[in-house]
Amino acid sequence: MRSAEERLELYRQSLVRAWGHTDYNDWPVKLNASFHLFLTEFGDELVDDLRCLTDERGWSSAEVAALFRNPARVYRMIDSTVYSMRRRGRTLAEQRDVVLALLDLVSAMKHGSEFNEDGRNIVYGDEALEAASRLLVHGPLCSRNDSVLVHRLCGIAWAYTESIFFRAHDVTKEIHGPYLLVDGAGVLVVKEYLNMRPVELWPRRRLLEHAEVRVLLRYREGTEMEIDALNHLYHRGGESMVDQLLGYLVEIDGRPAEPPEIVELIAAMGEVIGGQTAFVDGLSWHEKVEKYAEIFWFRKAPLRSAVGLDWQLGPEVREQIRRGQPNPKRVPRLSREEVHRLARLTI
Amino acid sequence: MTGEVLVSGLSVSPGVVYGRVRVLDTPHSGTVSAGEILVVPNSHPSYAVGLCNAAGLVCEVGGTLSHICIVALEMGVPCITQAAGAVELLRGVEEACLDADRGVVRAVR
Repeated sequence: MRSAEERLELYRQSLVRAWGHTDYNDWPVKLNASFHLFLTEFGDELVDDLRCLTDERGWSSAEVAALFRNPARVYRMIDSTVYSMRRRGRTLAEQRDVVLALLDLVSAMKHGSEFNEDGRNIVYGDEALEAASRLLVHGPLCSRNDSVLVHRLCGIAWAYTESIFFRAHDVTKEIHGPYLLVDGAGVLVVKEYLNMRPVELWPRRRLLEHAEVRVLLRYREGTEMEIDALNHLYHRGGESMVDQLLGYLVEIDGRPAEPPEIVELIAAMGEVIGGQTAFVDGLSWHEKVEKYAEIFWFRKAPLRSAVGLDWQLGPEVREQIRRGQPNPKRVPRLSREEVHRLARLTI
Repeated sequence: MTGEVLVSGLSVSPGVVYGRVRVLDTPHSGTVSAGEILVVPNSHPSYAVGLCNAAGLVCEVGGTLSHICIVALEMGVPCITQAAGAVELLRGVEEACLDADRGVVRAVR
């Protein structure tokens, strides 16, 4: 059992590691420069709802965690919540309590460490792993063409999630593993895309027809890869992952898909990305920030709904965004040193 | 035969590929044909659609976790980033060799 201090330190280290790769992602807007217009209220509501469920209604961490489908979704909300609490002048002790409570939720959704400090994001327990293994181990070896196809799907799915959730794409996906398969059968990585059709945020016509996609990938034993706590996959070997794949299974809405369906899915995602990004690029800065806020509220919606309140972004925050301007101090890109200092400052 | 280094950057996704160079200097500005080396100025997500056909990717700015680099890595497409000036330096270059293992784009003779 780790102490609170140890957990907080591991959390800080996980941010340093992921943020240390320098963050240049500023589509559709530089998020840091717009945080001040909505993130404080986001954190207020999140903390209120969490306390309501746990302190007032007596829910366990496991019960609250069950509201969410994937641990990365909760993990990636932690720094936003800390930002909010800092702006509200909450004490360090209060901030740390909330961070630990959120880490408890993450922990409740995983069978491995919540920080992935060993490079493994272990979400499946023995039973789920066995079920996934059964689907793959006895299947045929895949051809290189199939491997190219399925890796192409993973890449375009990643971009699809960004096009509909911007940088809050954790709402929709969890990349987990690598799981060691028995008898040297290789290593398993699972890529789950969970909210591919958020009609609460975008018109139906502009979204994929499917809600969920799961991709199981069996690589050769010894294939070097790691997944960090923010759900980034790192390939450590000098060879392409495409050449390491032994077998795969793609499920679309829970149904196994053959290569022709995968080709169709890739094409459909490409069309959505093209249309969606063109639409978003045509929005004004204020409209983009408002959409970002809606996505953030969607991100924490399970908590608010469990409390019994409307989860949608409220009119006061919308008005605040419409009257606001970018924070000039947060517009420039941060240097590597500044990113490290920011991560160390968090809690 | 490969010649001089035209552009250098940071290796993201390994591999060595030869191909025609396709520069897309703004989002939604064109398509990519199979086997082309895609050159982009930033990590705009629309470039991912072209990446489905591309043999390689050269991005001017962004860390190894910038989103277009993650997509290239996911697809197993050889990729370098932080290739300063790549869009201008490679504009007009017909064919090139992307050596993502070494983080360079070389001329083809």
